[in-house]
Amino acid sequence: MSTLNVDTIKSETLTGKTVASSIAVTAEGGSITTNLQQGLCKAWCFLDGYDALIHDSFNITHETDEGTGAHQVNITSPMANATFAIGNNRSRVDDGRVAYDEMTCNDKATDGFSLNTAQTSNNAGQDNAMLDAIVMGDLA
Amino acid sequence: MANANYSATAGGCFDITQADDTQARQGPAVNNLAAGSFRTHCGSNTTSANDWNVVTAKAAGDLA
Repeated sequence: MSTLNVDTIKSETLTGKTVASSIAVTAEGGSITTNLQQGLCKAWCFLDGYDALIHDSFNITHETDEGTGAHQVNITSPMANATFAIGNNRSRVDDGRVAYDEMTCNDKATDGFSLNTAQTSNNAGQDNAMLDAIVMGDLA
Repeated sequence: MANANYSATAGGCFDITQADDTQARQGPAVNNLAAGSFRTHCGSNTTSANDWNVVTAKAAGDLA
């Protein structure tokens, strides 16, 4: 093993030396390592569910409004499988101190997933002003 | 953050001592996004606000 001590590395691509898809980084506690690729967010988006508008995103192509409270989101560079995890958030208004609705993420596929919001009281579809999703998993 | 268009999600639990469905509560919802902050709002099992024992959050987006 050789060690190179530098302050800054400028590179277009980082690739594992032994296994191209695996780079170990020292964990915060300093005693173990964790996997760089596994810890990266593979896609995220911030949508307006009323207007079917993507405010900002990473690795998300576009969304399709599939009716009140239903949105299909497409992943640009595909996942390796459909067993990725999605953290999500919904808020019916941009700034209100209430948590009205429930949200589910399903229809997972390598190229996308759906975001669905409904009223907690009766399960009726309900658009929300803020929809967030963060995808963690394996890219293809 | 570089702007207020990032993705923020939250989770948590109402009562950290309980492990069954008595945990069921609405939320947390995240909103009021700004470059330097956001708000989380935890609900009860109706639509009223409710303080929770644990609230977690994560954000993905562009740093300044």
